[in-house]
Amino acid sequence: MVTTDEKGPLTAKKKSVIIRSCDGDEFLVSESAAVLSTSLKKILEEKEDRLIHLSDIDNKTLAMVIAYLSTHADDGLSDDLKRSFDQEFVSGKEFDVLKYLVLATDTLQVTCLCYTVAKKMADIMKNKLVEWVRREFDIQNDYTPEAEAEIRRLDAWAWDDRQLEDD
Amino acid sequence: MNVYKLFLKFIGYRTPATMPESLTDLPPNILSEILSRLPIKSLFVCRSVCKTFLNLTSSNPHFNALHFSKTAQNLIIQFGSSYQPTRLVHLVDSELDTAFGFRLKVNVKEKAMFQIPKFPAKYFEEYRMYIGDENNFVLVNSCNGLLYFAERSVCERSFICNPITNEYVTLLEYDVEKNLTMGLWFGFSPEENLYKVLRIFATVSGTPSQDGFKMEYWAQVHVGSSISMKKNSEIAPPLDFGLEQQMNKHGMSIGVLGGYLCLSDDTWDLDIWVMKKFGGQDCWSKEFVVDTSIHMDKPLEGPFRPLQILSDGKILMIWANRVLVTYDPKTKDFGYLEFDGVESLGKVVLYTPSFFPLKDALMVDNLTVQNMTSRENPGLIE
Repeated sequence: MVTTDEKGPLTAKKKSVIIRSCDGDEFLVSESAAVLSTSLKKILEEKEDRLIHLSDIDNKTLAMVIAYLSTHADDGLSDDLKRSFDQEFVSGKEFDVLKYLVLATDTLQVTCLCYTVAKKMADIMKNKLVEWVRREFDIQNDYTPEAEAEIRRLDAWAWDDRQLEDD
Repeated sequence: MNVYKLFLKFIGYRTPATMPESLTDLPPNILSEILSRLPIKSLFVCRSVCKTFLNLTSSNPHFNALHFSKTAQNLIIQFGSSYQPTRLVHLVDSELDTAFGFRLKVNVKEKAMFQIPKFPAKYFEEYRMYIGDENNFVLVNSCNGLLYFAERSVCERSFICNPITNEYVTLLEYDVEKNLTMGLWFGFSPEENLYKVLRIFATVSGTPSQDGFKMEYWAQVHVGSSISMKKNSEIAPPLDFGLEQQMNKHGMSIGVLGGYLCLSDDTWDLDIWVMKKFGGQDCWSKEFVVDTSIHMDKPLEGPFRPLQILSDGKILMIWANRVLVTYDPKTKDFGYLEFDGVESLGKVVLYTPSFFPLKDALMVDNLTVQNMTSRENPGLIE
């Protein structure tokens, strides 16, 4: 599968890069979008080859990152539009999707997207029960019952009587 | 394993070998980015989830810096009057700028964030008695995650604490024989990279005309194992500061507004002077005149104290130690934020939590730091 940049013939003349996901699919990206990722920028500076193989990012996640990079590389869009795109971009996404996305932004060094996704993940976690966080995010409780009781006692001030969500 | 994952497995969705199953499989730097964006209470609740979360947020300089750059403003409230303050200090983690206009529910019975440590009474030779047994410490203000408490009686004691790290340091007392403290402020001077205590004082003796006020800088210096105060310099009041205003000592307060030293006085209207460039008398400029007579629908007597300029240009103030109000300098409109079921706020300050230990924050060597309560720092749990 080759996804062409949607910006038409004008930008198609510009240099493009092919990025291959770990699933083997290839994406055609304009260089101006690719260099917004610090990692991709470094790779492009070092090698002539216009094909970059990312062995730890899957199709779905890579497509999302590329959509983000292409939008942010578009000079025709105002900063306000880009900001509302960012909000729309992370809203309604499953936590697992965000998890892979944030990992990809770390690998590719796309700082702005990393911060946006981290904020979204924190928003999902806030005001939730400890049990909810463990269950939804597959986190093993590695405290002994005594250690857990102790840490809850020390941080007791933060456990107020407001309704913590467990949905 | 949730249903969504089972579904992905069912349709043959391939997860690359390095993909994390659990959230805690993410690299520590990403986890820190997520945790540092949690509101402070949620963050402390999440420390009970697993050791990874606790260890990332305990004694971790990287996390401390990251958190401080991201954290939102909270309110710290000490209930009771200035004369009879309670020893319990509460934290309200509202998202202030957005929460405005809504009634904020504060439950006094809610768990306090911490309890003010008890200080021993002091024996005064002059009076032949122990003084300071009441321990009436009042919250003065907050700066960079540190809270400044002072007790104004015959012995003027004060301390600085960080409720997140649960530490406090005691400041040495002022010489109160010849002058009376009218206002205090604990602040940070970025130019000098120093924390300072500012004090408005009036001389106790002298003729009325000399009975005005002066402002002093008390810089911290390192003496032995405690922070001591050394009189550093004085600041004269603004040139247009009248005699009536000088005499109305309880109407004035000092603070920081929009990053600058400010002086307010409510003898007539609420006048707010700001010192944009540090210097002499002529460096004060009257930035705001708040007409406090126009909101008669709320019959409340009492002074206004400016707290902060919000991002939309409004000034956040506390009115009569009871109601938080916003004042829009352009439209001259007031907005109210009331606290349900609260007789008197006592003291309320804006507060930005900080995980930096006191020793690092104050940049003083050999500091005697004490733990505030039995709530000791859990540190790393193996």
